[in-house]
Amino acid sequence: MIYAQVALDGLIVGLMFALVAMGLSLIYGIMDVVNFAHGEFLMIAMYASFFMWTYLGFDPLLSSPIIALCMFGFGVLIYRWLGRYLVGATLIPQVFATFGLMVFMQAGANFLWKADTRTLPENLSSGLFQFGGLFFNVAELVAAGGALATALLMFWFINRTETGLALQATAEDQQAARLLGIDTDRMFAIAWGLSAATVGIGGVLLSTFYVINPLVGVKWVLPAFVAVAIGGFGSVLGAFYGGIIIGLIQVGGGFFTSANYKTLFAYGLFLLIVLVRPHGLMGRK
Amino acid sequence: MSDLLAINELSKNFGGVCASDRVNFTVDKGEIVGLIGPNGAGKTTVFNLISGFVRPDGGRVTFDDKDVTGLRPDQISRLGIARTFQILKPFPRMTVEENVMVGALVRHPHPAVARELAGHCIELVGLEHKRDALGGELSTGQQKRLEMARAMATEPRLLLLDEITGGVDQPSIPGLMKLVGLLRDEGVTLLIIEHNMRVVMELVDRAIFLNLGAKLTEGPPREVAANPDVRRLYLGSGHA
Amino acid sequence: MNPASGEIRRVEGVPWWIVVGGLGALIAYPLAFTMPFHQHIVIMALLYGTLGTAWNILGGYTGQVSIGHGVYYGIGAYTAAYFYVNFGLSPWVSWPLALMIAFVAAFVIGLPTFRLRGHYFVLASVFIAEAAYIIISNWEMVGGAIGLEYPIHRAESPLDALWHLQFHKSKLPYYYGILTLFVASVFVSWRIRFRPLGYFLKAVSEEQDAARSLGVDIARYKMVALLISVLFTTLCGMFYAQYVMYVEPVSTMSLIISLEIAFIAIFGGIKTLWGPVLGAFIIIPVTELLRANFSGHIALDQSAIAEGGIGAWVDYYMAGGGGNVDLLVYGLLIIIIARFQPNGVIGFFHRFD
Repeated sequence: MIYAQVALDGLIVGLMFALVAMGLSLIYGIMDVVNFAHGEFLMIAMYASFFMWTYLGFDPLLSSPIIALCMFGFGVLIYRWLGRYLVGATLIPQVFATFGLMVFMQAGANFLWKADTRTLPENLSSGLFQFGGLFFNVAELVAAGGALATALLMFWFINRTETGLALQATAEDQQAARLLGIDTDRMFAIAWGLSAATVGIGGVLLSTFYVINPLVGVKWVLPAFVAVAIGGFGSVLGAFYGGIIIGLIQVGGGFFTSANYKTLFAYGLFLLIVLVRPHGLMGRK
Repeated sequence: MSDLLAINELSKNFGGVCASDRVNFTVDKGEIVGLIGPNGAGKTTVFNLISGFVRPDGGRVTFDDKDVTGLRPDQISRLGIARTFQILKPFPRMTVEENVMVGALVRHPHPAVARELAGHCIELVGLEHKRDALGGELSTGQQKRLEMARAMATEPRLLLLDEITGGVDQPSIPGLMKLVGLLRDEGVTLLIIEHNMRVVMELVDRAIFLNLGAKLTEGPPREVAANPDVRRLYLGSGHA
Repeated sequence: MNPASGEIRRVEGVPWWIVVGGLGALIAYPLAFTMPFHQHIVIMALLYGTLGTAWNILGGYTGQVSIGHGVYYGIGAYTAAYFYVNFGLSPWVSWPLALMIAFVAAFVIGLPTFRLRGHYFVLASVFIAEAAYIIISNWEMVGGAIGLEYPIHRAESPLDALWHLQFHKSKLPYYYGILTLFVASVFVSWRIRFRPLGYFLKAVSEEQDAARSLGVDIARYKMVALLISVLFTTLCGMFYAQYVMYVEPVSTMSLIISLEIAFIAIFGGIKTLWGPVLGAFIIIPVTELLRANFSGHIALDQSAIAEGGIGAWVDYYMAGGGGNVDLLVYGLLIIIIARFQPNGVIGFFHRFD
């Protein structure tokens, strides 16, 4: 029975990772850039959720669409200021531009809001209940459900809308897409916006049950990188599955050894994947 | 055996596509052998298999009576086989001299000696006037010469030239052909991949025709060109 | 990359008399500027100058961008600390052991990861460093998250102080110690460029396949570059431990440290000899001054350490609680350089190579 609990928790955590990983994969797939600041997007969404609750009394479920929209805009902004210059750049400027952004945002959060940890108090989705011998945390369940819903929305968008297909085309072959009349610059901007929006929703959902501090982004984004690698860099669907796998591995690993070591399994898995099967489960390269 | 190079039943599959199908041939010391065939025939794959960039699924590569199958590219180079690349790979941010030095230093670690050897190779290919230009700044033809100079700096006994006339303008081709002759005079045995039949006719002692990974025929270039299968698959009826 | 020749002998574009003058200035500096804090700034600049120069050999010359050098730094720091604190063994004795451990780690890490290219290598280095960080943070033998604290040893004689490598009356021994290491690293980095090694590393960083086709054993040379880099990085770690007298995971092995080490070189200009030096001497004074002025603590001085011990160092180094302006500026600098001048600050001085 305890294993079922571990599996359940792993699945829930996995869905959150999936949400984080999908955004990462989107940007990489479309412009070959790894956004190391992705976790910081998560972090500010969490703070936004916190402040909306504290000062406006908005329950996270209510504020999530608002924050998602703002994050979309934020993502586009970052693209215009920074991301745009990373297209086709060599490895070092690419890597360091987003690392720099990560450091800047983390330090900024620390500077503005101090290093103390905050949590969201009782809200719409609080509560614990038991069913069939398993413990369910309502907030976690709602978050997992929200993550799933967001993922489905994302898939629908990518596969069924014209813009989504244009995104895919740009990811496949930038030059060909341009020849077809697709505004690749706009596609990149949308990718960043979507990426920020989805991870932003993830942040809001996370804020209902997880602690908020400037370092929370790194905690979630590093395993998310592994998820992206598992699924195959460039595949959003792969990132989704990768996220779930990572969630299960983390919770499972932490259960069998100790919570302190839970990320080690994910990191170890990354090394394994990257050495043995670099294109992951369904990646392109 | 006077064979410098012997390929035996060399085979390679890439995910279901047979790139090399039990290829057999030899190259004698001092020869210039041409590898010809349509695109996708597996010519560059043979080069990759010989030079160690790809591991064969079957067969053997023997160089100077030594089995070199499956060795690493750098090991094979140090044994005396050099190559150029179809998709040019100069060291873009190093000068021509530095490019060639890299090859020279492998055999002659002393910088002064290496520099002299490099200078000789650069002169051989006619790039002295571009000695300090960056590899990435050269024209296609110049880059091809650079690759040859660089390869020659490793003092190879066998040199694999991959389509040196590809993408080069007509007037420059005779010069390149003369250069290949010069390389042979330096004592290097040559195995070249060529699409340009005129070059093949004039330069090559023996031609080997590959199609879909397998060797169909070989012999003096005129004979191979007259072969009906070769005409059908590659040259078309009206080609010389 | 022509050797120093021509009318004015130059060292990588810098006239010899500037180099000699700079060295002389560095030697004379602590004698002219006697305030501990002023000396501290240059000590840190020299430390990071060494770290950046060492990193550059792998990251710049060879093109293997590692954001995980904190591992080796930490190995140096922890080995020095562990053997001193628990067995009273001076670093003069424990340094071979530290290097041995670091080299083994380098083999274990380098061999599998060297065939990774681009982003994959970067990520692998990050994860390995993070894994090491987690393991150290949970390893009771070396103090876990708290770390190891040096007992203060008041030397009876100069020789005794030298043995224990603890100097409380003056920073000068620390200063000249790190200066020596710094000069050594820059010298090695300089000489590499003219040896076959330098050519091969550069070839590897630009076109691996071409290099292999010429007979360059890629794996071997990458490992050589890594080992040289690790040598200096580990020794820096040992120096750090003796200087700060307190090692714990965050200041020795965290992601930030690995980032800082890499960034010093990138900011100044990788692939060049003087880039990391320039980077260190610009960034470190800026961040140290920011830290001192904005973290709400008094400027560091020797007696504060002797009295306040670990507390003062931790506070000073973490710049926690209401500070972090230094990291803010740091992040901004990284973004600016990456976006506007990826060749590094040195790009402003001459056409890139």
